[in-house]
Amino acid sequence: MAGILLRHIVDDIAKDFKQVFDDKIIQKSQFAYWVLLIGNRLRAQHISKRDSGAFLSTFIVPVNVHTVNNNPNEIKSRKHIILPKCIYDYDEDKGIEYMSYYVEERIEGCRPPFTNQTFTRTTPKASERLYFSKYETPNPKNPYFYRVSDHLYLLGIECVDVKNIEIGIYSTLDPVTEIDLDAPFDFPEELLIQLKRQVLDLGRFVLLVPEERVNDGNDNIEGAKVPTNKITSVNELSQDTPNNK
Amino acid sequence: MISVQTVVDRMNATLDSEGSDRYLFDQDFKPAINSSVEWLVAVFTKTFADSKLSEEDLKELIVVRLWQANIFSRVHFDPSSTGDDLWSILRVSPEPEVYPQITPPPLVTPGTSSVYRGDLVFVKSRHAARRLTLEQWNENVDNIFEAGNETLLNGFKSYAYATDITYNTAVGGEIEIRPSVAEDFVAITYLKYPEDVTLISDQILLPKSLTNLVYEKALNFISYKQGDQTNLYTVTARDVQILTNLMM
Repeated sequence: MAGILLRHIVDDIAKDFKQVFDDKIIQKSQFAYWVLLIGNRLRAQHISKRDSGAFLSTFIVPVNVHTVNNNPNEIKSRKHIILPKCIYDYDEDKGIEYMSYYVEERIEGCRPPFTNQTFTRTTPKASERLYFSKYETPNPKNPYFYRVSDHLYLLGIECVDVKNIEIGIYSTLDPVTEIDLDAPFDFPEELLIQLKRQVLDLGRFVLLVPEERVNDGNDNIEGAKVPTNKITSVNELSQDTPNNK
Repeated sequence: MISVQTVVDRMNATLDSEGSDRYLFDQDFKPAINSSVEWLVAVFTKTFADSKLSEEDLKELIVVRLWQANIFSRVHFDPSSTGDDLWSILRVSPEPEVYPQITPPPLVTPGTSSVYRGDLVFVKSRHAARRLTLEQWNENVDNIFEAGNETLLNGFKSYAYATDITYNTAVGGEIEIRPSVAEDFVAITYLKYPEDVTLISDQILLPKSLTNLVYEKALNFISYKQGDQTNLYTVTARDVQILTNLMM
C-alpha cells in the first residue's frame, strides 16, 4: 500500500527545525520518536472512532504451553499464545478484534474457516463463573481467552490439539528501534497535519530548554540564554472564544 | 593556488629591491613566506573553530582518501602513505561507494593497523560520522538519540568518530568509528597541511584571494630584520590586521 514514508515526515520536521546541518542537536531518531509518540495517540483515537479495518493486522501464531512457572505471567500447563505485537490498550481488550482457530479439513460449505470457532474475551476472575452455566462453559465449540500482559491464555481447547490461532489486532506503531524509515507510514493520511503540528509544538517546547545543553566546558551559566517568553497552550483557541484576539 | 614567484615579485617591488641581492630567496623570502603560511594556518584553524569560515575557502587543500578499518573499527592516518600531512579532518564517511566497485577483502593483519587504499576512489556515501568528545564517546554508546550509538542499526543509524588517539604505540594515532565499520571501507575528507615552499617556482596551495595576505604577512616577517619601529612593520601589521578582521 503506497503512502507517505516515515522518512518524509521526519525529514520535513528536521528541516522545519533547521536540524539538517552537521552540528545539529536533534538527531533524526529523536524526531522519529516524537512522531511515533504522537502518532500512536492520534492513531489510537482514530481507530476507536472508526469502524474500519484499515489498521487491523492479522497474524497466525502458535499455541504454546509453559512447562514451568516463571514469574511474572508464565504459568505452566496452560495453553496460550503470545501477542505478536504491542496493541492499543482499549477498554475490555478491544485492541484484539478477534481470535479464532480452525482445522482446514473441517471447512463446511463455503463458510470461511476463521469464523468457525472464535474466541470470546473474558478475565481470569470472570472465567470461574463461566463454568457454572452449561451455555457458557468453555469448550472447543465455545472457546475463551483472557489477557495477562502479552500472554493470551486460552480456555476450552485444553482437550483438543490446536497448533495455531488466527488473531486480528490493532497494533501500535513499531518502536524507533525497529521501524522501517522507508516503508509506508501506517497512519491515517488525513491526520498528518495534526501529527505535524503536535510534533512541532513538542519540539518547540524542547528547544526552549536553556542552553546548558551546549557543551562548552564552562560551568558559568551567567549570561546563558534562558527563555523568558511565556509558554502558551499548544491547543488553538476556538474561533468563537471571545479572548481569541 | 598562489605562485611563489608572484609573492616574491610583489615583495621585491614593495622593498624596492628589484634586481638587487639585498634580499635573497633562500635566506629571506622563503622563510618569510613559509612563516606567513604557517601563521595563516593558525588563523584558519581559529576561524574554523568559531565556524566563521567554511572549508570551501581552502578547496585546494581538501583531499578525500579511502582506508579499510581494522577489526576495532579504527583508522590510522599515516602521512607516509598519503603523502600529506594532516591539518584537520573535515568529514568521515562510513559505508562509502568506491571505484572500482569492490567489496572489502579480509585484512591480512586485522588486529593491528588499518589499510590505506590509495588504489580506490571515493564515489559517495550516505553517512557522515559526527565527532564526539571522549566523554560523549563513552556515554552515548547506548543513547539512541545521539550519533554513534550501537543500538539503532536501521535507517536511523548515525555514525560518530572519536578523535586521533594512540591505542597501540606500534600503530600510532587512530580515529575510531562507531557503530563498527570493522574491516569495511571508510572515506576521510581532510585538509592537508600546506607544503613548505622550497623553490621559487613552487605554488602555495592557498586560494588566490589570499595572495595579498600572504604577501603582507611575509613582508611583516621580513621587517623584523629591519630593526625597531620601521615603516614596513607598521604598514604591514596594520594591513594584516585589516585583512584578518575582514576574514573573522
